[in-house]
Amino acid sequence: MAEQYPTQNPIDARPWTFYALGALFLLYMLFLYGPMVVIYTLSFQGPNGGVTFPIVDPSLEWFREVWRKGQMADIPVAFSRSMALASVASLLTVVISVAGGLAFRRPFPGAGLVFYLVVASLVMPSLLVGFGIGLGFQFFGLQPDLFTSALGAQLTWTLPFGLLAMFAVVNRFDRCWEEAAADLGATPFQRVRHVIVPILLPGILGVALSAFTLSYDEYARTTLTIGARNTLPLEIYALISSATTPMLFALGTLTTAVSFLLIGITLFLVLRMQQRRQGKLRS
Amino acid sequence: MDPRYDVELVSVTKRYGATVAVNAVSLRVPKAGYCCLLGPSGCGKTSTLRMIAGHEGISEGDLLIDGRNVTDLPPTARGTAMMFQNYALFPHLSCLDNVAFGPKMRGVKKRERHRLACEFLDLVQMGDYAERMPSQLSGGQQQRIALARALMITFVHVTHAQDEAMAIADLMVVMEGGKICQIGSPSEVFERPISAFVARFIGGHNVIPWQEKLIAVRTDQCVLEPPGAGAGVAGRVSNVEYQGPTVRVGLTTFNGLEAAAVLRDHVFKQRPLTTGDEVTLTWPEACAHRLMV
Amino acid sequence: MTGGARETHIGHGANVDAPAKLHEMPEAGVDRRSRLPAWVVSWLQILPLTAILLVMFALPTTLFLAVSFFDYDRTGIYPAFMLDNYREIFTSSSTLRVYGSTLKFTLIVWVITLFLGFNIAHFLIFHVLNGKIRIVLFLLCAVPFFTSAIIRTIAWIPFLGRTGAFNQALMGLHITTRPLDFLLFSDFSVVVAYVHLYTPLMIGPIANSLSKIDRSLIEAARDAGASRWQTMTNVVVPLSKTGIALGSILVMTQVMGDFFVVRQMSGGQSASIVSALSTEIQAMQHPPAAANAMILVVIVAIMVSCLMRVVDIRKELVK
Repeated sequence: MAEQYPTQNPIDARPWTFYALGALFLLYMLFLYGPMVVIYTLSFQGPNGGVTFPIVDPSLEWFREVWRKGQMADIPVAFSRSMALASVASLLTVVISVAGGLAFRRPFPGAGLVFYLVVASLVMPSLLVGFGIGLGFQFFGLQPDLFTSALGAQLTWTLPFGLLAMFAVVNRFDRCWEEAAADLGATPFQRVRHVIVPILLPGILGVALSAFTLSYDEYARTTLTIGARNTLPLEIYALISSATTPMLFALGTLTTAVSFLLIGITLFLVLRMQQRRQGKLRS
Repeated sequence: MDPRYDVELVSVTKRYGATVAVNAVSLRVPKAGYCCLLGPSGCGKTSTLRMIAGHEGISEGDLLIDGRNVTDLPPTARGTAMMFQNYALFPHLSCLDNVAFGPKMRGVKKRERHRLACEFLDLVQMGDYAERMPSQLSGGQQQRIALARALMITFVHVTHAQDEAMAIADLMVVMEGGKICQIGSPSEVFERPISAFVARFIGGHNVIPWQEKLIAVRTDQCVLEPPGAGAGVAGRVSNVEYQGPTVRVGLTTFNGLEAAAVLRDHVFKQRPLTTGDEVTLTWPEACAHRLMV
Repeated sequence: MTGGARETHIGHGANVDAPAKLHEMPEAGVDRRSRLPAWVVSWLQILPLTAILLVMFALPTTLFLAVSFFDYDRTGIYPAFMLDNYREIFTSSSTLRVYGSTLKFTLIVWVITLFLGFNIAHFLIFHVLNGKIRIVLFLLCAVPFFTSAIIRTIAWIPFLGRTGAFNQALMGLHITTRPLDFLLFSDFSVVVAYVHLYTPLMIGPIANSLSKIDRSLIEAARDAGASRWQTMTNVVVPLSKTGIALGSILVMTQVMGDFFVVRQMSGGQSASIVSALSTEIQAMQHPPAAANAMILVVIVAIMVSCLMRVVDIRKELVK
């Protein structure tokens, strides 16, 4: 069904519910971003300051501390591991979810079972998934490792997300383009490569981004399947119990900045694509 | 087969004043068949295409699209016979890329398919809109782009690059003087040309008067024997051209005919020839192909 | 190939019936439509997903179903078929306490996120008229979900602590004279953190459902004399059932499966099912952990299937 949004009738003033809900929304925004802003601010705590206000001699000391290889944690290495794992998870999720989204365009035997498998994987408590995979690896005498058990555990989280997102994306795809391509002589593979994927590219980028960030921040499924080498969230987790310095805040600020950066880049690319299709970019 | 895009010309004639550009041409191209119109300039292939696109009026005869007689319909109305209701233009491609989509799927090289796409855009009078995106066009304009795109998959208008046409076309139509000389698959036209004209135009053939009839023999099936070797045509070598794995030996027969034989290099090396040598051009009996005209 | 049907046209050829004898298109070589039946294509496309989920999810689940019946002692675990692990869980008082605590949080968080999520989604879909602004606001709601949950959770600590920002603000505004203690390391902070983390999971699905509601239905209700409240309860809410159900599933399963938030925000006073479980896992007591896990899985499965009975999510999502 096409989405419909209300249009403003110029005669109607805004009902009181608008103001009430608007106020609620504003409060929610404060609620959502307030603590984060506190952390960002506290990251600039001075070398002698504590983990709460007031800020004593604002400095970049704690950002520098993040880079130093400490006894408890090695942040830069964990960061690169997180990035590598997230990249692989994102790539796999995109390819597999796109294929899955295309599969569900028509009924096929077992479609219901697959759907419930996906939902089950999504709602399963994360730690239990990691527990099960850890057990399995133990039973088969395999060592849990970054790109085997940890990747597999994360995929049980990103793939359902990706597939559900692809349902929404593929539903907006009109088959007339696919038929046109077929009539113009395109083989099924050519149809996917030259028509379906390019047209759906903004949505696909969205799926890639979500999968990347979900993997990058994932800790519950990863913690029992990672083996010896930690990803960044697990390093942070390890630091929490020993955290007596604002270094943790600086770390939080940095890692959130990375997330925002990736989100921003993806949004920019998607916007560019849409503008190009509306012909706004060509001279 | 889905009869969409079936294009049929029934005895179509086009006159420009006293000149007859297209003379009672009948042709039927099924959907998704790549039809290649070939012929020397002035043979009528451009006029034929323009009539189909609606760029030109048809003097006599009928044009049927998808079984409907669209002869008297204006181009826009004619176009609807060939398309989806919403034209299904690809939103992520420019008009030019939309029109060039069919050839791209077939493997036509970029420069060639863009050149063809421009020609077809001009045919529907949308040449200035090549770089626009479909969302920037009005409904009528989109229709014309869709028409150009549909035409592209049915007709590939080639003025040169004959070998490329042979590679991708399903149907070759050789025209001359406003008439169709031969229609067939590329291999058919090449192996069994119907007339001397077609044989010469396609190339790679010797057209030889032989035993009171006219035959065509492929140059790569001809053999050069020493003079006096028996059946064949005698003549003198006029040039020798190395082509890598083959050698093309041109000769002039004593009757004044130009001919050639394309020999494998090891065959040539067994009996090397130079300009001026006397030879007899012969061929296996089965390779001689009788020409109608 | 062309045995006989080669038709040629020379000169004035064509009769009207000539087209019937016209040259037949030779087989163009490649059949442009796939020869495979549609369902086979779908199966090939869904195979990677199914394979990974079977190996990484279904298989491990059956594995700890098996392990839950195993025997164990300090040195290892032994394949067996015993119900002892389950018996111990069901007879232990700490089990009841832990389950009670988790279910209590789940219920409270569900109610609050539902209220917040529905109202915010409603605001975005029905009250924000500018499409661009709506997208921006929606992004503002969604983006935090894609940042680290760990950071977002511990961000509350300097915010709610005795010397934290909130208390200092309250005192600075002279609303209170002493710092409020209950704000942190209490049930309150646990709930606050859960709501903070999981409200986006409600907003998304509900907004999606609301946007699909046909406006003419609402107008029809108004025309029939329904007040705004009646329209809401009789038209809007029923039509957004899917979104509410999906959001509820997501939120509840997240709370029930959590082990980190409750530990951090309650200061160790409360435990959740999974945090107790993780303790057992760390102590290498796999069989009882597995038994605990199975019970949790069963409970979650019951909750989810109840919700999915109310609403056919598959039909809505896949469409």
